[in-house]
Amino acid sequence: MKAFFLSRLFREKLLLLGLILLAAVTWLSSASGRTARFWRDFRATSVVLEGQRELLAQRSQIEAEAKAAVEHLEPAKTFDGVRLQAEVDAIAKRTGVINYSADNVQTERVSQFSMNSMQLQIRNADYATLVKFYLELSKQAPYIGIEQFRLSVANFKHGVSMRVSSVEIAK
Amino acid sequence: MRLKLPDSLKMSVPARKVVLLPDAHFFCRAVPVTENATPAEAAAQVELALEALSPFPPAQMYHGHFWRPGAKHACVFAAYRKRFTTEQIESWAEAEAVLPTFASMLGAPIKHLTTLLLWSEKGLTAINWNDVSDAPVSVIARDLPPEPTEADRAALRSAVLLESGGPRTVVEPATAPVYDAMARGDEFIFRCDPLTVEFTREQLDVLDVRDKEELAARRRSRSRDLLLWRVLLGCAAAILLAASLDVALIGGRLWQKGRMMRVELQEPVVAKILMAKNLSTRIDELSTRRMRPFEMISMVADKKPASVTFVSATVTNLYTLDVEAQAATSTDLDAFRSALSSNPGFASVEFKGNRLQNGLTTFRVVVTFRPEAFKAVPQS
Repeated sequence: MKAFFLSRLFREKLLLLGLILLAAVTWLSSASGRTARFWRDFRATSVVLEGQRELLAQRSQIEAEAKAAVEHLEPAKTFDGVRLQAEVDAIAKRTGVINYSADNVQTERVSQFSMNSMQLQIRNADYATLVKFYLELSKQAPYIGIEQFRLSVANFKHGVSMRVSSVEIAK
Repeated sequence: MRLKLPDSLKMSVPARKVVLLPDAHFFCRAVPVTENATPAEAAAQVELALEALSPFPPAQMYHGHFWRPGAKHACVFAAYRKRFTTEQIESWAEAEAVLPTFASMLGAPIKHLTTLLLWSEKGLTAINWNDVSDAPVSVIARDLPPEPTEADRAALRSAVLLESGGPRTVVEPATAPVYDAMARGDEFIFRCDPLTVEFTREQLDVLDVRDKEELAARRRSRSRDLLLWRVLLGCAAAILLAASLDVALIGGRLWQKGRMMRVELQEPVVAKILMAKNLSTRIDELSTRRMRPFEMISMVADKKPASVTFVSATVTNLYTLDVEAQAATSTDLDAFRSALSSNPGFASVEFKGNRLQNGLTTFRVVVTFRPEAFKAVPQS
């Protein structure tokens, strides 16, 4: 090959070299681009797999912790989604909250228990009534709790937006 | 075992050509060279010696020399240019080297005190060595008469040996030296059965009798070609690398596909574990670390001056309250800040986005509570 190349005319050498240089640059740049993309995907998958591996390794520990978290709760006192809404409605009525709405009820379930939550909006209430409602709701702790809370004031009337959650243990 | 390409696949490479000139055209002398001389110094010394011993200036001669590094002498050979016809000289243009026939055997593997007899159609050349590590002491070339008989040859042989002098080992190959044009590789091989002599390109350049400027131009051209060849090799290596990358990618993608399948298979199980973890955390927070929004508001409101009113309060996490407020008296803002900062139950107090409009200062205060701040607050 060397002898063949060296025996060519100078312009043929240049032409041959130019063609091979072009092929090398084109192929190498596209191959390196593909390799870089592959490497990024590969590393991203490695991170995901590592995360999954860690979680799977912690599976029994997490399940034990979940079990321990609900161990001290009495299943009979827990609230499912329907009972949560009914309980909040009852507390509102007891404490004089009139203008309110509850929606967006969600349930997240694992084998031993589930979490139910709903978005509660209270409008045009006075502060004392809100405190009363809160204190009543707090009596249901730890079976019912507040996860998000926002209080706003306009024209001396208060509005509250909160996410109320309850634990439900499979009986 | 070396694999050979079939002839049909071989690239057509013109054979390298070396021109071997008749020995009788050249006169040959051994000239001294200083100790530890470099090849360039040896060449300069040879040229000076040639000027001294030749009846013609070097520019009117075709000359070359043979010198082994470290040798005390060089063998210089030269011929008057006019002994060669224009046609002959033109035929040298394509040649890799042009040298007298005997010069091709100057690197022959012989012993001390040896005479190498080289027959050709027209004559006999004797190369006489005293010391193999040095240049030959003499080269004697004599022509045969036209249409020579065996007796003429024997007489010439005796005369040449007599002229060579002293008792010597005589090596007398059966054939004349020829260049092996079929040999591959960078070396130039000359055969004179049973002798084989190899010269490198650099060694052959020194033996080459052509015009030295022309040879220098050829050397430059060869260096340029060698550079181009190396660039070509680099390109070929890059193509090989790219091809290897692509082949590796094919394997890598198969592996990656398997990994992705594993991720997808594990995903539902992992999602369940994550949910269990998340829910257990939330239950733990509900039962042990309750969010206490009104307690937080109350603790912050206790410190507020009368001119400050709250517009909104958002609990961003278990221990952080973000309050948007207004102050009718701007100096009260400072008092409020001082009051909040002095509360040991607050880990941090941050006032943000103060804006004054029509005498009303609007601001945000973000208070982060210490967990123990709620211990004093009675459980609801």
